[in-house]
Amino acid sequence: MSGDTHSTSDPTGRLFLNPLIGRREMLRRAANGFGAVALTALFNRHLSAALASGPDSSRHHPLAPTPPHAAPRARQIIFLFMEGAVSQVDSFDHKPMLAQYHGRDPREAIGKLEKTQFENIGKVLKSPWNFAQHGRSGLWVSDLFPHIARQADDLCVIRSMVSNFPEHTTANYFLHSGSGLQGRPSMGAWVTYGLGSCNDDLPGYVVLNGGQIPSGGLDNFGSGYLPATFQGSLLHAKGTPLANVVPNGESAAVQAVKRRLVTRLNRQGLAEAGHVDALEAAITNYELAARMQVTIPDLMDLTGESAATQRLYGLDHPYEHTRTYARECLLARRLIERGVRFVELTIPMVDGYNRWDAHGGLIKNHGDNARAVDQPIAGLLQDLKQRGMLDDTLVVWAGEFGRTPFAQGSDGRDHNEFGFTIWMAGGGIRGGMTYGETDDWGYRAVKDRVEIHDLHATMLHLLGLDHERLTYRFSGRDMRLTDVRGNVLREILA
Amino acid sequence: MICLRFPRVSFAIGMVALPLLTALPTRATEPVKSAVAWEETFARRQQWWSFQPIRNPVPPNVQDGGWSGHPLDRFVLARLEEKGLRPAPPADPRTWLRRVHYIITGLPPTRADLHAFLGDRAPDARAKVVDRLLASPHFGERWARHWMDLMRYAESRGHEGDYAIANVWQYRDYLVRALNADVPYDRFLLEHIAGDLLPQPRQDPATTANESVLATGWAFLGEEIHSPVDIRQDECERIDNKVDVFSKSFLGLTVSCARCHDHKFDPISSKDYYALTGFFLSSSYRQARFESMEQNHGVALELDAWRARYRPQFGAAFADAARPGLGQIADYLIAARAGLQDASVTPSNRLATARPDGLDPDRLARWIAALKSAAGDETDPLHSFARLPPLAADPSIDIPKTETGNSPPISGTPGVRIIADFSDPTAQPWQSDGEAFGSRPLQPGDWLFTTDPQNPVAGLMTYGAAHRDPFWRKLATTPGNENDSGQLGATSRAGQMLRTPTVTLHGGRLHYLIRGQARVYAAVDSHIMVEGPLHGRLLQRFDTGAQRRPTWVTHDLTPYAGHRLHIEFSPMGDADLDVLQVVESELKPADPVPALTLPKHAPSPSGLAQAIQWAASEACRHLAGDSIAGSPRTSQCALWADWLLRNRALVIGQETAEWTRISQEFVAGCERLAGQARWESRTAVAMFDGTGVDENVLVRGKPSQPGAIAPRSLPSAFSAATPLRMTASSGRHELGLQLVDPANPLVARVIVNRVWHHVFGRGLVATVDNFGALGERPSHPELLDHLAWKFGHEDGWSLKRLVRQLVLSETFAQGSRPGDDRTEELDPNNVLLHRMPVRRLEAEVIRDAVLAVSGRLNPTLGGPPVPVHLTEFVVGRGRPDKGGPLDGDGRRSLYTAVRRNFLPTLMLTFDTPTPFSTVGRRNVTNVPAQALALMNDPLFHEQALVWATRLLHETPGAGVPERLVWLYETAYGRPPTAEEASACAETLAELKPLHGDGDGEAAVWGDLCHALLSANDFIYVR
Repeated sequence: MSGDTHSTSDPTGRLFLNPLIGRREMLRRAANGFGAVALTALFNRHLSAALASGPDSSRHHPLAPTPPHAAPRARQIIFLFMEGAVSQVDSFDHKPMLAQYHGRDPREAIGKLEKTQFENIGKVLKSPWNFAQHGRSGLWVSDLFPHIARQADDLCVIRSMVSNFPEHTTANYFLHSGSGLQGRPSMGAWVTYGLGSCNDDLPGYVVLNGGQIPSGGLDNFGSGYLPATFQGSLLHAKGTPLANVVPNGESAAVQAVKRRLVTRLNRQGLAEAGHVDALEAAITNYELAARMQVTIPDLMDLTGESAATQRLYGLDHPYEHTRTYARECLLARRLIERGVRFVELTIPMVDGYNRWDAHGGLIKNHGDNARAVDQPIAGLLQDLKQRGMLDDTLVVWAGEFGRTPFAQGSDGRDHNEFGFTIWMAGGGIRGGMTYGETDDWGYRAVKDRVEIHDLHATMLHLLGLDHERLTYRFSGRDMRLTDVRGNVLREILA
Repeated sequence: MICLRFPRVSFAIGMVALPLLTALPTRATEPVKSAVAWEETFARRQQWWSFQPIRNPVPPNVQDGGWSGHPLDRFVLARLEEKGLRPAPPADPRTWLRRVHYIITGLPPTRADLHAFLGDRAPDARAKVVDRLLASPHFGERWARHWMDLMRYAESRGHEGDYAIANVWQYRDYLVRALNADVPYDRFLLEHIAGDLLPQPRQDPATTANESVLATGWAFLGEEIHSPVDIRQDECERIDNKVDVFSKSFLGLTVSCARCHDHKFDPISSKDYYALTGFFLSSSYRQARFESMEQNHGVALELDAWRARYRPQFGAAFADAARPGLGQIADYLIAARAGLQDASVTPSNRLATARPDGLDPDRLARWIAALKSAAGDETDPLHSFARLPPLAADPSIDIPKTETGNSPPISGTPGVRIIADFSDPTAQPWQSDGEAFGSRPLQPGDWLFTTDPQNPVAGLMTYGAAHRDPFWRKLATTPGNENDSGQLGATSRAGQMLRTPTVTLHGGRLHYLIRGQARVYAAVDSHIMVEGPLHGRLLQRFDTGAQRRPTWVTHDLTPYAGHRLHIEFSPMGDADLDVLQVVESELKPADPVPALTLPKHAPSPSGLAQAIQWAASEACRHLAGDSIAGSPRTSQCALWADWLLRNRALVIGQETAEWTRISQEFVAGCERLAGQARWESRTAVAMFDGTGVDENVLVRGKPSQPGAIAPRSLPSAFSAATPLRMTASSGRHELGLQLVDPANPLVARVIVNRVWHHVFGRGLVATVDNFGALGERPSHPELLDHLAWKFGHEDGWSLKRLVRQLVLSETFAQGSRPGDDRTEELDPNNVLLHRMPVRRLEAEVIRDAVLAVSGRLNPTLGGPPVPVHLTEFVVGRGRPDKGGPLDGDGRRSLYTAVRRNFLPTLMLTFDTPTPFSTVGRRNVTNVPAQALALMNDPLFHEQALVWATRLLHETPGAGVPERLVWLYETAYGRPPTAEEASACAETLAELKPLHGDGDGEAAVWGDLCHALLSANDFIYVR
């Protein structure tokens, strides 16, 4: 058992009241009458009011909205995680040289090769998909993503990404937390730690599970050494959305009776124990939890969405996995609408556990995966745009690394962390541009190399957070999402 | 005579200490100037409070002398009085009882406990309770879990596959037993660091199982990645995690911060970091046969003595029997040679033929058969003779050029590097897990024994080698014992493994001179999670067939050139295994060719036969004197002696009665010893000691940039630290002794503070894992020293005495109600302990309490984990095939499987830490998911009903008020207040109509029970 206040190190006093402020003083300031060092949740404030809130009394409450370091360009993030690694040379990084040298020994064509995961190096492999320029910007997109291609003018395609790790789990951790190790806070946790949430009835960081839990498991969404409040809450896109959010086979009436009793006992207990913050917070949570039993099912219920909207996302698509991802994308918009700070989507179980990880059978693997996500993503971008939400919602599309421009075996591609492509759209990003380049093969980033830390720094920057100032004291250090690195990519800012 | 071409080793040990990398130019991290600056910085930082010696401060004077006579309380009271504060009034006895139960055992008091305590008017009533709880086996369970948080305890390796760590729960059970036995903490720590190396390990008195070795398993509780592309970088991460856990847990220091640069705040240099990594690089992973190792070691010693006793008797008996026949060897050879070439001699007419030369026809037939076989076996000493040309040919034939035994063709060969040479017992330390390869390498002339009672003598060693002793062939693991995950698991190596020194590969082509069947594991960069596409070649099997001579086999490890490794050999099935040498060279060495040493001037068959007779007679003389091993003519003599023993029938005819008597006695003794041996054993994760490896300081933490060597050592900030440069072992034992040296102030301070943290909810140093400059300073420095001094100097490092002292203080007995405004204003975070904190129970304790209250708790101690109950929220790759029951068999939460990627939702919800590194202080969050779990988690519903059923069973015919008292006392350790009783009674009345008639009374009470389990009073302790 630990102390009755929180046991986390919080030198900034960001989470909890500065101990110099007297307790009674704190109670006086708190708007709702509950003192609560640890009120994690979540009083009904309207979204816009919350977004406008300044350095006010609610600072002590960890999920309360907190002003950023600077004026934000985006307020919320949707992260479309393309787990398993999409091939850059088959999607957004057009390399005609591959066709020219197709079938040749890559050691001769490209030169010295880096080690790969499987060390089963085949020939130079041209893309089986055709590339064309799209939109006014003339962005190159292959016909792997025909729907997304139509949104080309909203995309900022970064073609010079690099990762430090060639293996899924470590690379997933790295992409999520800036560290290849398990148990570090995920970027969603950092963002929520930095900004709080704008919804009282939902967690600040929500992961919509399409079926594919990434390599490395739920730790990709963990809060690490940050308080558990900030960890990603997994909502299943289908089935029961959240553990214990559905009453366990008892009638609402029975539950209500019990709830009344518990609240009554708790309040009597509080009178007995004195004003202990943790007890007060637990009472609030209990009431919030009761509300979540209503708000979460309400969130998940898409019947209120128009038929046109449902079609736009592909909810009527013949392919089952497209329908799953369409549901995730639409739920993402609904979560953003409700003020959730960071929404991450995992991909459906398109190709068993293979994800985008096309070590063999590239055409089928990438074809099926793209089929599942293409229309829903395009629908999401359009829908956000037409609702005016894209302006302050940052959409990030990324895998943990890329794939080799030469074959693994005959018809696959191996992992490649030396150069790959991601894109961003929306809040504060210049659309219709590319940034950085790989070599003629799409193998190594050669111009404007972008590290994962740079991506993180830029994402935080767009949210108005300075990645060097967003710190948490742990293990004797002020820890950062960007470790000791990270540069904001100013060229891509709108 | 025959000799095997193997080299003599002169420099294998030299290889061990360090490798290739020393030869590389070192890149200095900092100019010399800054090294001087570091000295100054270091000296300044070493003045930090936590590095100062522990003093024994006198308890301060206090104004209110009547509050408590306990020295601990005086330290607390003095600080309160400084601020003009008063301690809180004492807690209600019921509150105290509930509090102390949860602190010590993690389980609530029963109603019987409650009533006994309330009825005990004796002044030592509290002490009696505490002593009872400390004696309860549940104490060990409760405190083991605290320790497991430090050791990032898990039963799987995380990452993509979440592979199981085999048998790792033995470590958890070790903790429970050690804590219950109150093993002194310095000893407990020493076991963690060097439990495998202690001259006298702790043993289970009943089973003789080795307890101490189990402690070393902590090193392998971290994550392991399968198929890492950069295997060396992966090792650096794993070792870093071990250093992190080691330094935070045992020392309260963040040494890992010095991986890439000198510590930014503490007197810890990068060199200190790498000096610690050496201990881990010098130790390897194994599954230890902890149950059998001590017993079998004793048996092995007795077996050695028994064999030593019978060797001369066998030798003398053989020589006595053989002596009369030795003079006939030449005659038999000549006659047999004739017989071999005379087609008319057939088995059927041999017996009938009376021989004029007096040779026994029966025996002659055996000689003929022996020559026949020798002709086809170049390792047979008779081979040359048997292959002489027919009689008709020119007798002055050219005898093959001869060689004597000891020429070293390989060691003289450029480009051949010897890694291990077991033909030379002094060439490397003997590092063999278990008894399967005996206690040393055998030398030529050492006797070999069989397990065949009819024929216990196999012969003699004719070359030097690590030899699998057939006595131990029956070693097996207990059914249900787990194999290692991945490809390593296909080999049953526990207690049957022989390892080489650690070296750094040059070209990477290794060759092993072996005979028999071997499983070989090349432990490159200590990678054990061998699975997936990349590193399968680390594991190989070799089989040299039935022949009796060793041959070279090749293990191609060229992809690992420049990497560090050692090689582990283990036998397969019942097959023989001799391991002679391990070398590295581009080309495979030529197989050893048998070479005879025979008189150069005896080219005729009869001359050769005479020479053989003479050699055999010499050998027989040596056998009688038991002086073959180590004699100057060892190889030749051993060969002939071995030949004689294997071919007793040629020179003796029939075994003598004396031989038979000796055999029977000998066999009886062996069987007695076999009866004492423990053939089956469970195994557990443990360290195995290797040769000393000193790591280079890796510049900016990069393995590609090795800098200067950092000799193994405790961080130099400790006065006891002296570099440990031994090459034949890791030096962990010495490290452990330095660590627990009373001159080291951190060990005692850190553990005392941890115990304080668990008892009072906040450490005297709040940052329990960091006593460095970025940690918090102690709130009561004198009190911390007082406790640490007493712990180390007076209380024998006893954790139980420490706990007892803390919970019997008046400070602990305070109430928890917040004080007046002024008090809360002056001590808002209760740092001065003006009251006890109100605390939420930890996840495990909540679940255990639910089971205890409902009556479902199964108090069984220890054993394999109960699988995680699988729900749609426990998902991902590597998901266990089989889930466990919802109630986890009623076992305490300690026993629920800890699968890294599949941690139970309920535990995570209530802040059980993710096991990635040391967590001495858990988060205590307060989130709606917890309330949702209380409302809707099926376990709570299920157990509420179990509890209600128990209520009705135990209170037949009782009224509602009595039943409410029963429920409240069971769950909260107190009766309900009048308000609570009426609230509950009203709820019952409301619930009744909501349930159908068919639901019965239990359903209604079950709802009430569920509400009581959901209320704050259940999950909070005041």
